[in-house]
Amino acid sequence: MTLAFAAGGVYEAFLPILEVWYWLLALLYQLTGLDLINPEYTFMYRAILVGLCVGVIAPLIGTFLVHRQLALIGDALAHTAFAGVAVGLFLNAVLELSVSPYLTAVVVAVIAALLIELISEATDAYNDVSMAIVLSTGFALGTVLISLNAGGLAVGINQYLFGNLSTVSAENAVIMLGLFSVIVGTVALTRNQLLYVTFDETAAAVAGIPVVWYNRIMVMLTALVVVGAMQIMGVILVAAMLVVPVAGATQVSRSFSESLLVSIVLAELAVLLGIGISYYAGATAGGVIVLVAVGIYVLSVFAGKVRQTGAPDETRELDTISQD
Amino acid sequence: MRSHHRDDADEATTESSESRPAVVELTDVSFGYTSTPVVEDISVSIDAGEYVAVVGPNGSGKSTLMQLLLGLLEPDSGTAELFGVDATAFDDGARVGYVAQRAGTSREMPITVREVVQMGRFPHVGFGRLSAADWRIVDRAIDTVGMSGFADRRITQLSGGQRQRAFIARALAGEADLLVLDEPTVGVDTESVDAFYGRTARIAPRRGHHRPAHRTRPAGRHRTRGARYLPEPRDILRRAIGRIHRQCGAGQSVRDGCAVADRR
Repeated sequence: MTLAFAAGGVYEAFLPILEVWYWLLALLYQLTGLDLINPEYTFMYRAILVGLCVGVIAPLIGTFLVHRQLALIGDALAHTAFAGVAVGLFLNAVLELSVSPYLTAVVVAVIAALLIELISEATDAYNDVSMAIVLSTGFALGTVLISLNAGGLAVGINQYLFGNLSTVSAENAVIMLGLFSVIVGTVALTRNQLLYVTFDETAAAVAGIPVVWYNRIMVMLTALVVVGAMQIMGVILVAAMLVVPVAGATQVSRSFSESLLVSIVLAELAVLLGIGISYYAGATAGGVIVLVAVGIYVLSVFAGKVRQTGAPDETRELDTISQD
Repeated sequence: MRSHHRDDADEATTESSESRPAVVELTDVSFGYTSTPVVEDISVSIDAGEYVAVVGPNGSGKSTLMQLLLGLLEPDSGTAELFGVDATAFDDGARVGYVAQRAGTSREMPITVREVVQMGRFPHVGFGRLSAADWRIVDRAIDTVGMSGFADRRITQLSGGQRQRAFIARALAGEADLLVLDEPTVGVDTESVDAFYGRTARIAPRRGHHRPAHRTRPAGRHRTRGARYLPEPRDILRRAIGRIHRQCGAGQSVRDGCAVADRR
C-alpha cells in the first residue's frame, strides 16, 4: 500500500517533466514542421524521450561492461527480463492485477543480475557458460509462462520481443525517467570507484574499494538499463545498445572520459536516426537503431585507422626515472 | 628494528614504535592455492621507515606473500595484519600503494597515462573530484617516472616497460605509508631500473625523517639488481625466504619447481 503510494508520488513528480517535454517538441514542430514530431502523435514524443534516455544510460553502463569483457551480460539479463515480463502478464491474468510488466521485469532482471554476480563470486570468474545458462533459463521461463495462458496474451508479446515505439505509455516514460535518474546519479557518484574496479580490480581492492559491492551495483544497473531500453529496443536487441556504441567509441577515443562522451554521442545519433528512419520507412525501430549503430561502428573503425596512420605520433623523449 | 631517523634520538624512535603497531605483521602465516603450501609458517614484522626486499627464485611464493600481507589472500593459518588491523579487513586504501607483477593488462580500454595515475588519488578523494592539488601530485608522479611526454598517450599504445612506469607513478601518486612493489620493473630498461631503486631506497629514510607520520617503503623486489640499493637488507626476510619455498624433497632440485632452503 505504502509502496503503491510512494510509486504514485514519484509518478506525480516526474509528470511535469513529461509535460515540459511535450511542450518543447510541439514548439520544435512549429519551427521545423517535421512530421515525425507532429503533435497529433504524442506517442512519438514519449518514444523519442525514452530513446534519448536509452542513448545515455546504455553506453554509460556499457562502457564499464565492455572494458571488463562483460559484453554478454546485457544479453543474458535481457532474456531474464523477458521472463519478468511473462511473470507480470501471468500475474495480471491469473490474479487480475494490473501491474506493469516492466516493473516485474525490473524485479526479475535485478534478481538474475545478483544471481549471476553471486555465481561469479563463488566460481571466481564470469564465464560464458553460466551466462548462457542464465540467458536460456530466462527465455525458457518466459515462453513457458506465456504459453500457459496463451489466449489473449500471445498478441502482446511482440512488443516486448522487438520493442514498439507506439506502445510507450506515459507510465512507461515515467518509469524510464526514474531509471535514468537512478542510473546517471549512481554513476556520477561512484565514477571513481567504478573506473578503478573496471581498469584494475586488484589495485582497486588494495585501494580499499569494496570491489564485490561495486560489481553488484554494476550488474544491477545493467539490469535497470536493459529493462528501460527494452520498451523500444525489444529483448533481443537491447544488448546491442550496451555494446555497439561503446565499441565504436573505443576506436576513436584516446582517454576514458572521451570514450564515455563519444559513446553517448554515437548512441544518440543511432537512436535519433533509427527512430526517424523507422518512422518514415515503417520498420521496427529496434532493428533500425541497431543497424544504424553498427553502421556508425564500421565508420568509426575506419576513422580510427585513418587517425592512426594519417597522423603519425610525434616522437617523444622518454626520460629516465628521476633520482630525486 | 632499525630506524632511519638520523636526527631523532634513538629513545624517541623506540618509544613511538612501541606505541604504534607494525606496518606489516605476519604471524605464522601459511597459505596454499591447493593442498600444497606455497607459503609456510612465515612470521615477519616490518616497521615504519623500513625498506625491505624479498628475494627468491621464480615460483618461490614471493607474489603470494605480497598478496597475503595486502589482504588480497586470506592465510590458511596464522594472522596477517596491516597497520595493526587484520589485513583482509583493512580498508584504508590511502595508506597502501601496490604495483602488481605485470599489472599492465592487454585489454583495449581507452585510457590515458594521466587517467591511470589519477587513480592513485582515488582513495584520498572518495566520491569527490580531484582537486588542483591532487592533479599536481599526479603530474609530479608522472614526471618522476619520466613519462611527462606520454601523459596523454593511450596506455594500450605504450610498451610494456612504459606501461609499468605508469603503474609505478600511480603508486607514487597515492603517497601511501606502505608501498608494495611486486617486480615493479619488469620490462623497464636497465638504466631506469637503477634509477628507480636508487629512488625508492632514498624515499624511506627521507620521508621518515620529514614526516613523523612514518612513511615506509617496504619494497618487494626480486631483481638482485635492485637489491644492491637496499639501505640494509633485512635479514629477517632473508631468513624467512627459506621457508616460503616449497622445499625440495629427496632427489629434487630447483628444476622440479621446488626450491632448496639453504638460507641460513
